[in-house]
Amino acid sequence: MFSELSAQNDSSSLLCPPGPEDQGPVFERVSLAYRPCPERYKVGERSFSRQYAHIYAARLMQMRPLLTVRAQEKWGPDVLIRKLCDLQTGEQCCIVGTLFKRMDLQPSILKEISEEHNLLPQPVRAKYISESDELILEDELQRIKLEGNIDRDKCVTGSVVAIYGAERNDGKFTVEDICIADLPPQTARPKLSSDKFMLLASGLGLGSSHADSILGLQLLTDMVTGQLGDQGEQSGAAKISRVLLAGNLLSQSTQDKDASTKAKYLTKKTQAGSVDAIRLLDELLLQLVISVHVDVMPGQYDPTNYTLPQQPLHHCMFPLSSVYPTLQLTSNPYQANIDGVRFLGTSGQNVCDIQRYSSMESHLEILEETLRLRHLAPTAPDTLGCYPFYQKDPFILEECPHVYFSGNAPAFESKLVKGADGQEVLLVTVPEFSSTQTVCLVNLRTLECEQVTFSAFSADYNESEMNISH
Amino acid sequence: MDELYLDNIDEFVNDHNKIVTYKWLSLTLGVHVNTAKQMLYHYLDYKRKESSAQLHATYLVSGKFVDNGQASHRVSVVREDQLEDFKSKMSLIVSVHVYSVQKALLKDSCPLYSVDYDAVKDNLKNCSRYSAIRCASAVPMSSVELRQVRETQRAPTTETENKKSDMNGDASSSKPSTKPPKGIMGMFTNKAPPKNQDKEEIKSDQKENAPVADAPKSKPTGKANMMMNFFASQATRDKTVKAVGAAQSSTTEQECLSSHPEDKQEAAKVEPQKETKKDSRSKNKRTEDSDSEEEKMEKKKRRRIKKPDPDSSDEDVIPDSPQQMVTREPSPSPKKETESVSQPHQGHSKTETRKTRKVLKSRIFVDDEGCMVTEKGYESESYSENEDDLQATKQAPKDPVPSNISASSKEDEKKSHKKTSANTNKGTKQASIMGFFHKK
Amino acid sequence: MTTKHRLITDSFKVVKKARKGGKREKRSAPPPPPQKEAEDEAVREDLQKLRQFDLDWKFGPCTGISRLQRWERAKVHGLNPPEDIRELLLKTHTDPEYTLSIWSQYPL
Repeated sequence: MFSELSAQNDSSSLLCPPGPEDQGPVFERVSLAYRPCPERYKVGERSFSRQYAHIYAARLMQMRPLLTVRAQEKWGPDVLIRKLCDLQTGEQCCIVGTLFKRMDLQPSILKEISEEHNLLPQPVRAKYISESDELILEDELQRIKLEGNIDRDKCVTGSVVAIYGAERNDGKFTVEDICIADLPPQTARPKLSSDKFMLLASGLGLGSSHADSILGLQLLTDMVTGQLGDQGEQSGAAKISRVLLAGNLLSQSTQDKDASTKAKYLTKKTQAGSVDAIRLLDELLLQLVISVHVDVMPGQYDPTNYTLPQQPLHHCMFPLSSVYPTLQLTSNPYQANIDGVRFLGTSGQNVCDIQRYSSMESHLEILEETLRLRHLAPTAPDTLGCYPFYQKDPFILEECPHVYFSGNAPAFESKLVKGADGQEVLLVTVPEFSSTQTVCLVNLRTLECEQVTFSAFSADYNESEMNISH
Repeated sequence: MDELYLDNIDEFVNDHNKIVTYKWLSLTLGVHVNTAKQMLYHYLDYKRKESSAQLHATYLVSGKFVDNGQASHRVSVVREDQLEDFKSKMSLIVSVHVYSVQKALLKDSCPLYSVDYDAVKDNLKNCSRYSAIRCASAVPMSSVELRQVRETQRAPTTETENKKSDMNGDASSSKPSTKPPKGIMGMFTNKAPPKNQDKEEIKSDQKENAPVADAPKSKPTGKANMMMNFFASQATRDKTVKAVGAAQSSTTEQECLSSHPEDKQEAAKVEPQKETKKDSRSKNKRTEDSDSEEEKMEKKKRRRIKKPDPDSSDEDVIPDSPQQMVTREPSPSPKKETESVSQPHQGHSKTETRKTRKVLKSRIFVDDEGCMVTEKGYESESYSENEDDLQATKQAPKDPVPSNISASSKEDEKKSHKKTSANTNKGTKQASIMGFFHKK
Repeated sequence: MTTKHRLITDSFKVVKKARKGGKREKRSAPPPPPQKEAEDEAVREDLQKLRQFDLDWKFGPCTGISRLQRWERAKVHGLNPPEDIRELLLKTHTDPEYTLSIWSQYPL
């Protein structure tokens, strides 16, 4: 789509001597209305004296009415909705509650301490699900074990669901059917008259030891800023009206683990690994912000707070680029309204965490699941760091975004999901740039999404080419 | 359009053995990127026809690429020999142009990045000047705007830095704000003198070892000091970093050279004061000590180590050719000029030095240890602006110490160099030893 | 339901009274006691009401947040917390004995 758009312009070739008119083409960057919604994910007071009970309570309080409605839609308006404390054995009813998955393999500091004596170190796992997992439903007062028609491995702790079934004599609840909140209501997006693009990239991974991706990054910058390519390409690039960097701008290797374990006097004179990387990032951002609006989200490895919602990176880290009004340092999760198109997404921590604690593999699938659960990060605060909110759970989706993304995915995937009430959501998993050299372009007019890949020849490539030719 | 550029490119490629990318060319010649691409093509074509030296080129190919049924836009840099192959794989070609021309066959593409990186780094503020896209809203905010924006955002403490960063960032930054940065950077500037003194300490240590007299410092040293203040404030940038290294090495050199047994009386006077200075400094250092600071210092030291190679050879030469000094004297200034392209502050430092030159004051005071000290010093308002805290003001007049022995005395120094060969020998020996220590 | 509540609170009141009672005595020691009696009674009733509010599970956990915050949250989520609690809390918003929940004395 981007290629076609760019190729449309009849291009005067660049494979010719420069013409007499010295002036090359100059395109004006397409601009658009941008309305950030920073308040939602801003943490004001930062009180950590609370327990996480509140966030679960608030979550259930918020979700219960929604799920009650959904349950009545699904199982009839006169379905019996019970709280666990009123449950009668054998009675068919519906219960709204928060799922909890008891997992043997889930790392637990308590376990480590209590079994310190003769415990083998647990192997690092990609997944923590096992056959012995148990699914439990909790409401405000009680909990009950679940069995029956429910996909145990797929479910994750923290999701609020409605289940239909009956309690058996042994005190377990047999699930016949399950109901989730599904897509929230959506305000229709305005019809745009022309193609405009939003470029999503994540996982730049600056400061990593292997710098293979760095030319790719430069090519990306050059493409966006209208340096490389033919006129057509440049005019296409001018339609990229915003660039969103979805987290992990720095590589994991900039967080040297030594710093926390080594004695202070040993590390006093060593420079943090992130210093150079941030400087590089600042220069990169400068090149971008001179030419285009850039939103910068922090990610798992970036120097800001660890818990969700991650607060914007501090502007003093970017002395060069933060002078420009085109640079927006945003929170993670990111939410903004761009020309009437609502963007919502994270740098990928929520998705990665669910991947570890459920049987779901594909980032896209998980992304869709969180959308249908109507919760950005159900596993927070259980296995995902999260600020102890008490009044509201800000990760509950109250309004359906038009573009719902997550960053640092292993590969680019996208899908257009249609809701029952006419909602249209583009799901995008933004690939990690440092490993894939790929970014994605979202057409705000059509909600199409396409990947853009950068590559440069290398010694390896040459060899592989040779092999092919042999 | 004349085709002078062909010669230009030829010079870059063949004589300088450079990798010439379109972007580098565009920034170097100040032409639109597309023009630069065409120039490269033209050059390549022209050279090929001439069939003179062998040239290698890389191309940029972009277009639609279908892989496993998934379409993507693909932007690639390929070598010439892969070009056709690559083009054939594309299902729709959007653009093809020369990316770079160079003499050698590139094994991988990393050098391409570093060439562009250097070019962009030199023109950070203007790196998009010749691109094909303008962004109307990308206008740097003034410090006032910045402050407003950030005040609304929050963070009262940061605004000084903002101002700072603005000053740093803006290539055409306003001269009037000679005031040294406060906030974080301000700390660096305050820190810079101790750093410098560090060196002096070493020197004075050596003095103790071999009681050669202390030395009047030549004017350039003073200048360099000030420059260093500025550099130090910005040491975060590699470029300046290099400059600091250079400036420092030249300073050390100067100091070494000048530490000849000329004005012994003067030296005697200065000596005790020096020591007290040293003390206070080290105290300062200790109190102000912070991790970042230390890192900084260490970094600089390392830099210093790297740099002086050419200098050391210089020093070895000295005994034979005292004129060397004359040639060396102006050496900081060219560096300065080169820097000033990217460093607005350079300008300030220059103006400041000019100021200092004008006001020469001699002052007598009793220092911490109760010694009477006479000090001739250039004083300027900029100093009082510079240093905010008391300690700093105390130090400030000392900084100019190097410059308080005016050019004439230095001239004397040189003359005496010429005259007393024994002395010079001694001195230079010392100098080279000291150089050795500095390198440590 | 309600009977359950009363049971819990009743038993709890005994414990709590001992602690808080001691405290209040200390505080009210200097002023003369005559009309204190009546006032004390009113205060005790108010506190009792607040404790009832604390222990109503419908409004969610009460540790770590103030009573007013908890009340506001319940209001936001449409749980209809009793208005008089809010009035009482606003009236006495400076006294930690009113503003903080009964568990506030306990470490987390």
